[in-house]
Amino acid sequence: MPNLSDHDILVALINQTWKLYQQARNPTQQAQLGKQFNDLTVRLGALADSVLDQTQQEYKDAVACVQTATQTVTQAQADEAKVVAAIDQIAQVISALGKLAAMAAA
Amino acid sequence: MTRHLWFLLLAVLGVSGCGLTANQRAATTKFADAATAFGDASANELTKMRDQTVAMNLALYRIPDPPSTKANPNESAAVAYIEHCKKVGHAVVSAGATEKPCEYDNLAADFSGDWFETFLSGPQVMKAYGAALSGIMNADSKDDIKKSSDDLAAALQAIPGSPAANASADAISDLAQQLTELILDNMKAHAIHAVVESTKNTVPIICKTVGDNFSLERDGFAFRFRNTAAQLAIASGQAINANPRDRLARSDSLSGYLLARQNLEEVDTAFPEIQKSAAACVAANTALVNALQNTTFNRHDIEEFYAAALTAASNVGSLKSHTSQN
Repeated sequence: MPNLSDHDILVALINQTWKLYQQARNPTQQAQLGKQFNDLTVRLGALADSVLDQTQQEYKDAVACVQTATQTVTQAQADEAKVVAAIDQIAQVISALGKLAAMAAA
Repeated sequence: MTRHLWFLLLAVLGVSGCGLTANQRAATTKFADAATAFGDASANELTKMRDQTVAMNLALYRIPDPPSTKANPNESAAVAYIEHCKKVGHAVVSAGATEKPCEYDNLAADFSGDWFETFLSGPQVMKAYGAALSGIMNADSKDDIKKSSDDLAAALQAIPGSPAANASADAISDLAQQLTELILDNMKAHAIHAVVESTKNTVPIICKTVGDNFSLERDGFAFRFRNTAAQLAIASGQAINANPRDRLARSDSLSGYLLARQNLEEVDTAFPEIQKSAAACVAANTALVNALQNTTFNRHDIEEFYAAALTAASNVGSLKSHTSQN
């Protein structure tokens, strides 16, 4: 048998009650199940948040990591544009050198 | 000159071996698409969930309580909610500029809290990551590279006495283009290897946490959203039956009931799709990690490599014939 927490038990009970409420056709039965559903959700709300701090921290770290990776990819794309721009600059330098050489030869 | 050109050709062939294989390119594109789709759908759905929860809390507050529950305020979700607001000292609906309204502060699963904001940033960064990867994979700088290579060829030819003076400008430009494209492929491959290595274990954390929160089998955002909709459906259904002669009560109850049904349908249709999308994103991430670890070139890669080598050899041959004529 798995170890069930209060949360797990309440979640299962709420789901079961909601399922039964949807299937119920008798108004009295519906009213009882509706009341039971509300009681259970109020009890669930009174419990501490099920999300542990550790899980939140792990998630935050994961988000920060993917954010950094996105910046790296964006930077890599910008670097590609720089390579193309560098060829342009080399062409300009060679062109200038060529003109100087032509003037010197003349 | 010819020796230099052959050296260039060897460099071209050497660099071409460092790019992504066809399988790796396909896996990157597939992951980028999966991450974008998952991030987009789940971020939209979470925002919608938050807005709809505000609307449902307000609807719950508006509908009249069934007569039988008036003796015990805890029996009605709306009344329990009002009692809670009074207890924590917040106004129920109208609040001053500095005071947070209770209907927002007390949302199911705390949609207004810090955790929700952090949680929502997960799908948002996944969407941005997918878009960035798509951007770099689909970046087309061919026109820019051609222009730069043509300029370079023209500049080389303009140097008086240059061995390239009588060579084919097209051949020089083609070779420069080919080399540049291969260098860019190499840079792209390095960037993708680096980012995937850094995110291979964190992407599944985000996808799984978000996917789990769209499951009704555990206490998460979707579960509490569904409960709010269910509470509204129950309370409004009872209120419609209990107030057959009260037009305003009937109207508020019917509006509440329709809102609840609409959101319950969303739970049944959209939420399973988000869970599937989260699972697809995890699977695409695993496939990408595996593809990047396997650098075996397949037949398509070899054919591409061979075609690149032939083009480069043809360009070098063309330059060689021009320079020897010179």
